[in-house]
Amino acid sequence: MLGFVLKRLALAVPTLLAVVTVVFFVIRVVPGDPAIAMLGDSATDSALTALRERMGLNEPLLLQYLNFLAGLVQGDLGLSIRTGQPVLDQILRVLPYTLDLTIASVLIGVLFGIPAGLLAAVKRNRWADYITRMVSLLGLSFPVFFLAILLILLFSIQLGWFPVISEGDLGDPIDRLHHLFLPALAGSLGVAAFVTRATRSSVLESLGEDFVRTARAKGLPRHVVLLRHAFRNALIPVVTVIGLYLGLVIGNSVLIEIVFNRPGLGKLIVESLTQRDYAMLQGLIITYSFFIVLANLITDLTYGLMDPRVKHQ
Amino acid sequence: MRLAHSLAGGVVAAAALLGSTLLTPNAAFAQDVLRVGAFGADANRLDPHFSGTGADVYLFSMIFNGLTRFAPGSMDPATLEPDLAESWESSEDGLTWTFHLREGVQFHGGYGELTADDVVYSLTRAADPERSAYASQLAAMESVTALDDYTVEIQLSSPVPLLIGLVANARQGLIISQAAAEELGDQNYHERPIGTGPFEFVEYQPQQYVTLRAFEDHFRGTPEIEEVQYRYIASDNTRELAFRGDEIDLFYGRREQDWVERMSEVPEAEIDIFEPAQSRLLHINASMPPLDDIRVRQAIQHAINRDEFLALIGADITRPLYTVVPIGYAGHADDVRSPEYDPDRARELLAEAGFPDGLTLNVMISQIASLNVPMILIQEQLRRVGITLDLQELDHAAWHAAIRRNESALVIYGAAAFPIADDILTPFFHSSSIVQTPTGQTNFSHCSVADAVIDEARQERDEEARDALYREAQVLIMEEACAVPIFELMQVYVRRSNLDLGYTLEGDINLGPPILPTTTFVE
Repeated sequence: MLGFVLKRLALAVPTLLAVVTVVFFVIRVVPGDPAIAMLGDSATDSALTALRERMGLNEPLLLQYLNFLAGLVQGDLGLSIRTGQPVLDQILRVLPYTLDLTIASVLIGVLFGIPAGLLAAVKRNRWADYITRMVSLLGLSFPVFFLAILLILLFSIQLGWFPVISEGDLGDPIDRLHHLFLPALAGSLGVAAFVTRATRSSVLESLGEDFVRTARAKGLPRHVVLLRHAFRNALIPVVTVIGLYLGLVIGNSVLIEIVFNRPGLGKLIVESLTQRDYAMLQGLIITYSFFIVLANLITDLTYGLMDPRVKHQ
Repeated sequence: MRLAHSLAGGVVAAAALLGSTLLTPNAAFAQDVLRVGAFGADANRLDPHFSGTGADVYLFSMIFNGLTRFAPGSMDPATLEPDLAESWESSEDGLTWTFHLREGVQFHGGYGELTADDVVYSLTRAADPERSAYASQLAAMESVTALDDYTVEIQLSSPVPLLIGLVANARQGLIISQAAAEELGDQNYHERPIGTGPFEFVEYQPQQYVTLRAFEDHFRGTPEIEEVQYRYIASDNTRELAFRGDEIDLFYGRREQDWVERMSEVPEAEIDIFEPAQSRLLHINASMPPLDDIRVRQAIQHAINRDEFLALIGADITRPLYTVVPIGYAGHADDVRSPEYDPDRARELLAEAGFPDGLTLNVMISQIASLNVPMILIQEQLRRVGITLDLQELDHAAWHAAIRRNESALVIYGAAAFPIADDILTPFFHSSSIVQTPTGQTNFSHCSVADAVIDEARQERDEEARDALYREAQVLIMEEACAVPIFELMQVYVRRSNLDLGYTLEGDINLGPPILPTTTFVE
């Protein structure tokens, strides 16, 4: 097991390196540079040139790349071009907010999605099924930022139960949850919809398997057949899919972060893109890639735990 | 059954958690804390000589002072009055200026009294292209020296239209503490910006807010407002919702007519519409044929219908602009008017120039709404006279790069600059500023017809004579059809009606309502 984990982590390194290299060169090909973004519209050419010199943007690309790699192996992601602060510090400062949002969105989504999908499968082609499928289709198609605004209008403005601007003091757990609830609710819609459909189709497929027929033939009660046999087996592909979806959820958090004005990686990446903050962009892409690799690894491990047929060498 | 039990248990736990969060009250509304909603996702960099973003510039106005200041609520250069300097005089030739500082002005954070050394340090730093984004503004400053603890002498290499404006309470004129800068390291000044203003810096939470606290020893008196929470809110919607949800008291509004109308109906909201107006000029790139033919450029002048812009963007927040120097700027000539809207004349001119069937131009435009929307209307107005615009939309930074590489036939541009004519004429219409040259700035039209007049005006000390020269420059530029002035877009801020600013807001150089020591919440 440990060997499996280590091997996977070791394989992740060349993957991350490849991603970083591609990103490094691609973002510098895009026109526009951080100097104009920082100095503003009326900057003179000479001021722009001076700033570019100072930021090391005029050095040969390969040299910049090698400098970056050298810093990377020491755990130094460089300094943000915009703020002058270390990239790693800035990322770590907002990371808890994004992790909170991602984990909470997935948890809420799964909490609603799995029972809903189960219900839809069991009541196939009956009212409960139709309604569940319709709601989940709405959830997939509904723009999340619009939902976010609706939630704010209802729960923050009308009812006053939750704040509009949701940051929250990281040190105070109650305050943190209080500020997390609405954004997580908004983020969970897509997850719930997705998980519902995945669960439904997986359970239906499971119910059609031979072992279920055998269980029924043995005279086991309906709920035992459903829950202990069909459902447990159906969960395996669902868990896989949730794990893969985790990476996307982190990315989708951008709109939620903007509407709720929550600090987070999503907002940081949009800012860095428009400002052409190369160092920050690179750091963020590495962070994202790292989490996706991690999510895949955890999914694989969970899969192995759930399915006894899978043996790790 | 086990699953059902655990599900039930989960629901109960969730309900309990939800219940506990509901019991936590929203932040109680405190009448001595001013919560501001600024436009932006984050601070750019909290260094007053470096960052030019609207959100940062407004914040700096609460933390720093200059040698002089505009009277609160005004952007008229005629109102420039003492700030850190009590008085000043200049030599006959206007090249030597002596400023006498107020005594007893304290810096925040225990960094002691303001002396001439701090002024010398600040202006030197602001004039250094390695450390400041505004170095070009102080290019004419040859030296700045401390004659004694409270006297500063500025030596210019050539006369400047309005020196006391350059050292006002904005951008390059902001005075920082030398001791603090040397202690923190000049490049790290942004970690703890120390100034002399009514509010001192407490903390900065990235992507969230900056907290300022009333500075008790401020030379104009302890502020009524005890704390300022300056929040960064990128989304227009969220800013508005936060105001309605009683989470902020003052915010950067939307420059849209129906939004302004809607907000004026909200009882607790007070709308402030003020200068600086961002001018929108359409620069015609005369280096790209057929725009090198003056008749084609004149046709464009005649094709523009300003009334449609006012109707589109909103009568309350725009004003028409007829000359390239914006309204309210020193040197603005009211009687210089760009040729009237006359589509027939436009078609005539095009036919004369050899384009009876019209022509096509390649134009690039930014994605930002305030530039994008007017350009689409321009496209339509030009189409009516037979000029087709091939519009290429780019993201803002890419567009900036493209127009500076001289790639667009037309450039819609505007900045809210310092309110004197030279600040528009030199960067946009003097040949030294033509793009893709070493001294290039933003002369997209390659205009050079008014060079001599602009140079002469810069040297002219008599105000009336100077205004006459600026008027001449505007006439020449208009006759050469370098650019078509279209409209101006005002600033919009919304505040709670019980926030009494303490003055009438007509304009502010720092793009937001100044928060004075006397600004307070009333019942």
